[in-house]
This record gives sequence, C-alpha cells and structure tokens, in this order.
Amino acid sequence: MTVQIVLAVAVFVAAYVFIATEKLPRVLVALGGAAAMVLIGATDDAAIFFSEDTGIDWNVVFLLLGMMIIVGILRQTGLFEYLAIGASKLAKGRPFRIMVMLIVITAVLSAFLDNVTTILLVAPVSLLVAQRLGKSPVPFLLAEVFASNIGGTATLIGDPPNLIIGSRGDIGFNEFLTELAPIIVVLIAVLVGLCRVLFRSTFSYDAERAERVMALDEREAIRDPGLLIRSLVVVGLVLVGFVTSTFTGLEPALVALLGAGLLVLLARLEPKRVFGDVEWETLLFFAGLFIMVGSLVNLGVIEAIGEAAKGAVGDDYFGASTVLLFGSALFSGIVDNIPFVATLAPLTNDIVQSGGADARPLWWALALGADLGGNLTAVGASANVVMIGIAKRNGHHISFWEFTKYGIVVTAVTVGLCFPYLWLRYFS
Amino acid sequence: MHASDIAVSLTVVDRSTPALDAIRLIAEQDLIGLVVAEADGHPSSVVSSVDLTRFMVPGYLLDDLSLTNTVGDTGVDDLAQTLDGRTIGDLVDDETVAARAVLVVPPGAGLVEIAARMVDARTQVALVDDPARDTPVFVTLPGLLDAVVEHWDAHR
Repeated sequence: MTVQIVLAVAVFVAAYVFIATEKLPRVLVALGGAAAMVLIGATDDAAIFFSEDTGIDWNVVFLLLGMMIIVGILRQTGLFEYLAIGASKLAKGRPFRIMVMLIVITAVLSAFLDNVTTILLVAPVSLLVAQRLGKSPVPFLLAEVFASNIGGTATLIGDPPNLIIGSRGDIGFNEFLTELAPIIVVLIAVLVGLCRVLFRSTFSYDAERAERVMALDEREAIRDPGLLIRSLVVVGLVLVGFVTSTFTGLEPALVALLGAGLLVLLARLEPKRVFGDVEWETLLFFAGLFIMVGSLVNLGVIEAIGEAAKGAVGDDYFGASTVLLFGSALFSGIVDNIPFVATLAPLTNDIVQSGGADARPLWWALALGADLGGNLTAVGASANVVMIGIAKRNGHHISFWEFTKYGIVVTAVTVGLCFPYLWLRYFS
Repeated sequence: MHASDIAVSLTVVDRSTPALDAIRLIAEQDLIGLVVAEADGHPSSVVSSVDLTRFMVPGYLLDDLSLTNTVGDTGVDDLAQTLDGRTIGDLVDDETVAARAVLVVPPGAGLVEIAARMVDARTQVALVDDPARDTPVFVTLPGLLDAVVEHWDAHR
C-alpha cells in the first residue's frame, strides 16, 4: 500500500467523520476533502471533470439542479396548499382521515420532489389544520415525514441516493418505478395502519372544530392561475420525458434541464424567484463527494474492496441483499445517507457487473435500506431535521427521543417488510 | 439641539404585561412600539409594532404566505388564540422575534450622533440617560426627524 493510498483513505475517513458528526458544514468538508485529494495527487482535472467513473457525476448534479428550479417555480403557484387543504376538507375535518390524506399526498409528492421540499410544503398546512382542529400538530408532522422518506424511495428522482444509484447502476426512471413502487405502495398502507395505532389519542372528532377546517378556502391559495397552468404543462412534459427516456435516449438530467429551461422561459419571473430555491450548497456537496469517492476509485481502493466483497458474497446475492438492506437502514438512520450511498454505489456496481442479472437486486436492497433507514432517528434524514425545526419555530418541541421512539417502530416494520419483498420477488 | 431637548415620555410596559393588552395599547394609542421594563422599572428592551405583529402571526403562515389567503376572516380569531396566555416577556425571550436591547444615549448627544446611533442599532427609540429626571425619557425617531427638519428650516 503506497503512502498516497494511505493519505487518500485518511482524508476520506476524516471527511466521513466530520460529515457524520456535523462538526463542520458538510459542503465545507466535502470540498475540503476533494481539495486534499487533488493535493495528494489522488485525482486530477481530467478525472474530476471528464471521467464518468471517477469524476463528478454531472447526471446527478444537473438532474438535481433542473428539479430544484422546476419545484422552486411550481411551489409559488399555491398548488400544494390547494391540494392539502382540499384533501383536509374532503376528509370532512375528521382527524384520522385528514392524516391519511396528508400521508398519501406527502408520499406521492415525495416520489417526484425532494423530501425536504415536500416537508417545507406540507408542514405549514398541517400546522394550520391541526390548529383549527385543536390538536397537537406533532403526530401529523411525524406521519408526514415518515411518509416523505418512504414515498421518496419509489422513484429515481424521489431521494438523492436514488439519483446516485440510478446513475452508477445505469438504471432508468421506469425500472426504478416498476421495481420499487409496488413495495412502497404497500409500505404507505402499512404506515397508515401504524399511525392509527401510534397516534390513537389524536383522532377524537369535534364537529365545531371540523367546521373551522371546512371554513378554509383552498382556492385562495392559487395566486396565479396562469403560472399554475404553465407549470403543470411543463411538469407533465418532464414526467413524460422521464418515462420515455429509455426510448428517446435523453438522460433524465437532460430532461430535467430542458424542462427547467422551458419553465423559466414561460414563467417570466425575476431571477431571484426562479433560482431562489436552488440549493447550491447541496450541489457543491455532491461535487465534492464525487471527487473524494472518485479518488478512491482512481487509486484502486474501491476495486480492492469490491474484490474482497465479491469474494465474501460469492453467488449468495440474497445474503448480500439482506446485509445491504439492514446494514444500509441502520447506517442511514445514524448518518447522512448521501455519502453512504455515494461510497457504496461503486462497490455495489462492481458486484452487479460481475454477477449480472442475478445480482441486480442488490441495487434495490441498497435503495430501500438507505432511503427507509432515514426514518430511524431524528437525524436520519434531512427532512426529519427540517420538520423538527419547523415544529420548534411554531412552539412544538420534538425531542430526539420522541422522534426516534416512533422512528424505530416505523423503520423496523417497513424495512422488515422489504426483506420478504426482496426474497419473494427476486430470490424465491 | 440635544437629546434632552427632544426627549419625551413613552408608555412603558413590564415583562408580565399580557401580549393581548400590548397589542391593544399599540392599536389604541397609534404607537410605533413599546418600551419594556424589568421588574425594577428599568427600561431594558424595545419591541416595535412589527415585532408584536410577528408574535401574533403564526409561524407557519410566515413560512408559507400562500396559506394566508385561505384562512379568511376566521384567521383573525386565530391571531388572538396565538397570543392567549403569552406575555411581553415571552416575546422578548422568543428567538424568532427581533426585540432589541434599549439603546441608551447621553443627554448631551447631538442630533447627528443620535441619528447615527439609532441607525446603527436599527431602533426607533433611544433611552436618554438623564439622572436629573425621575422617570425615563426617550428620543423617538419621528421626534428626532422633526428636530432635524426644524433645524433645516431655521437655517435655510
């Protein structure tokens, strides 16, 4: 082992520790780590900017950028508020029905939007509805964040780890949807049942309070119907672009960028409103992370670990999937799942490449474990942290343990159900 | 002209004053804000009418302005509910509200000095530290601007 490899591994491990412990801003750590990799000669400009295997994964970065622009414009239309309030009224102000509606809306939105964005959209409506019902909003917020992390697992664009998996594994939008959406539908139904039990003291009905929910006017949320129509047309086109990308050959990143460009053109909003929701820090974090992981690939570290993993796995892909599913869930529940998946994706790719179709379910095990594991603890996913922050700003403190005691139940049940799903669908 | 020349008395509330009463006071007397005193009567902070309004409007409506249209007139009742049981002390301690420590200026401070200090502290009220007075007196921003304009007119 050369000094260069030792230094590169040390940089990588140190960066991982800093990201996990959140001692420093994660973007700072990722870019600092990337700079250190360049300085020790573990990577170079050609690899960083132009290599598909060892450089920045531009597909992921630009897919994220395109979706951030589209969602940033779409959220200004009031559509999400319209849907959430409309659903609450459809539930006739009955608390449990409202929770079910909000769970379903959150899960569906999360499948197509970033989970954090979904929570930012749904949480204020939930606080309003809960206030009108005279209930604590905490059960509603918890149910939504669980639904968001589960729903985001269903598609290629629902959760950042899926973008990495899709890009590294060359997995298209449709394949993701057909392989993962069925179990996600089941898990959302199970979540509804779990919430009925976990939050049973929340669901008493008060006709007078229900009337206050019915008094909300969802139509008033739509402030610019023209913008809404233009946005919906573009979102429709983007979804068609995703679904047909296998036939058209257009990468999802390109579809998202074309959609974003078209919507910017049609929306005619000032730049601040168009790009205000773009999380530049997140994009740079991804870039730094890809450079760090790419450096390890460059130096042959990932290949060596991959060889060892292949030796350990042999042809027992069910065993490997099981370890990947539960291991990823546990790990992602404790630390950020993005660097975890960024590191594991090239390893998994090595095994899948040598194992062929039999080994392909490893990708689904990784996606399910890493995404669903986010529900385990209060810090397991960015959406959890954001939701807890919103609750706190509105006078509702959710402690780490309060979140985690529900998170453990939800994660154990949902990840537990993925185990028979993987076995029945791919290995039985 | 100095701070002591343009100082006026202001309504001072204490930390235990109910927030609802404070809103009423601002509405009925057309005030730009309130001075908050500690238990010993010493003015310690200034809450503007914007601070109080921020305290009254639920955070989730500020997070999502689209929702403000949907609540209609019934939303006005919700505002009182938000304030119910809360005091001015709660507002001063609330980290989402930018209540400011009261700015103190010497009685001999000139108009330019007071203006600069108020801008620097981003406040509309300054306490005049005048031991000759029994009760606290203040310079307000409108009072300061009146004095500035008066000076311009007198020297034109």
